[in-house]
Amino acid sequence: MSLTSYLSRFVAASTHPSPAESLSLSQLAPSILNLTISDTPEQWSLYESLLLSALRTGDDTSARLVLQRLSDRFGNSNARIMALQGMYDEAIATNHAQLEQVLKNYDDVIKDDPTNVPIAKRRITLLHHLNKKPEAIAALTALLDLNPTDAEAWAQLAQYYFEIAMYSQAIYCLEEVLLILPNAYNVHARLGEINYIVADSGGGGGKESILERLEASLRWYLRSVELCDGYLRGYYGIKMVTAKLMQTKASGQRTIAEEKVNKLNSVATVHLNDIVSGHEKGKKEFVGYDSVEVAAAKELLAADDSST
Amino acid sequence: MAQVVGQQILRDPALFYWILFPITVVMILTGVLRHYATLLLQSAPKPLDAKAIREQKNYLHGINLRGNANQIPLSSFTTRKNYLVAAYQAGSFLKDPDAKNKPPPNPMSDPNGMDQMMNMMKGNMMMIVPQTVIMGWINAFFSGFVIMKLPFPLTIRFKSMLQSGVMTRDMDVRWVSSLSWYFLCLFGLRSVFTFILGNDNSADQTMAQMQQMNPQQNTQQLFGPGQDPAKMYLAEAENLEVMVQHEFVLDGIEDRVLATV
Repeated sequence: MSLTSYLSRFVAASTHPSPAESLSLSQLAPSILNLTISDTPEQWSLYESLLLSALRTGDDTSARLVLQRLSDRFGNSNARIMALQGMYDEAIATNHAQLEQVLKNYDDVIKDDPTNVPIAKRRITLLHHLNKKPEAIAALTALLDLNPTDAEAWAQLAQYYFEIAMYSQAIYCLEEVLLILPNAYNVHARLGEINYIVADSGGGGGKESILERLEASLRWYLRSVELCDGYLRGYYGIKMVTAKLMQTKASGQRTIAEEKVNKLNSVATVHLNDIVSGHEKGKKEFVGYDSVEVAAAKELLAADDSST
Repeated sequence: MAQVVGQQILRDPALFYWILFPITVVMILTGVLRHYATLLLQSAPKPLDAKAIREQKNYLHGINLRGNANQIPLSSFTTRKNYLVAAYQAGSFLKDPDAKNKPPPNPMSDPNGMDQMMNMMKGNMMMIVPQTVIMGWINAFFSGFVIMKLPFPLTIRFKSMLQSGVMTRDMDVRWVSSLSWYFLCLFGLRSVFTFILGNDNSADQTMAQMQQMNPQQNTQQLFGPGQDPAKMYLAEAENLEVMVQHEFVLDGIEDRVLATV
């Protein structure tokens, strides 16, 4: 196999590969390492992906080899290599004390060069992992003060806030992501999800009522399927929210008429049905869906059928 | 002056091997050499320090907010707008807030600007030195030779271009002198260099000239040496302030989606 065909296998793999997928990728390591080094950008990005999947599957020897080649080429002081090296150190650490040591190394690096963003991000992830969540959030906000146009960092901060149930902060962060990437339909859907959760948990204490939250959630979901008209998560959300809206007899002014809500619900059902049946038949245009998500959609549809 | 049709000049075939061919080869080799020498001399752009990054990225933040304001609800937009306008006007993102009211520093004394200028100097030297040397070489050894005949007729206007160094009024324009061949090579080898060295090579001088035309394009710096960030921040604050129209993209989305499906 050639370099490009290896690369396309890594590109084809999803961003969150399943264990089996990771394993099959990391088993490519010996043959990739046997390829002649051609010093092209493709080759190095292939090495980087290989390193990540080797770490994921616990193949530390291959990871060591790949990392060695990368640092031979780019030098140990390259910020990205430093982050990869840190990742390797984190992976081979066996106990809490070793992780603390890695964290201390990160602190030293950041003290020397506060602009080293890859290491700063590793440090934040490690802090979060070590259950120092307030520190992680503080470090992340400091990073965002330095560079408020980093969509990845905003999304991560949204996730951290979400985990500690600070929903309005999480929404704020996701809105920042939208300012940078206005067409990110997954972020729209995420905003829908968070609004839904807030409504579900009793309004979140903000000035918006539950009804307003639900309608906002529905709108965000609708925007996500408007941007990407095969987005399973979006239709799933629409179905959930519209079902909830139809049940609620909450007082307050509805801004989306009930008949429209009903119509949207049936539209979402139709789309979900299409996706589920298409995915099961293995049709070409329904291949890319995550099987877990499709299974969840199927369950939702089944529950819907049994209740009516 | 009558045009002599089918003018014949007896040329030694050795002219081809000892003049035309060497000039071409030398030109190509100089180009390749220049490419690698430029790569060697180029200093990597100095990484920005934290304060400079902060200054630039927060400025971009405002531009992003202005450009994509319709993506977020009006209340979220107003909160951000008020915060950014206040911060911009107070100059809290500036690299050094004390310099706010001072005149912009002389670009010559700015170390960053010096760096840029040094790079430009290097690039220019890489152009001028080999050109002078080769032209001197050609003038010393091959001046006055007529080395080839173009296979197509040309108008008299091309005479000065193709026959520099040969002062004969009556000679057909199709004859090319050695010095002119040098110039043709100098300006015409661009595609050859692209073929040998890839797309962004620094062998060709037309490329270098284009880069000098817009030096801002390739640098990652948002604020050029002569610009005053404080003023740009104030201008951006004003731009944000006058934004009154806000059309939330989610308004009426339910009708849009229902209309399409």
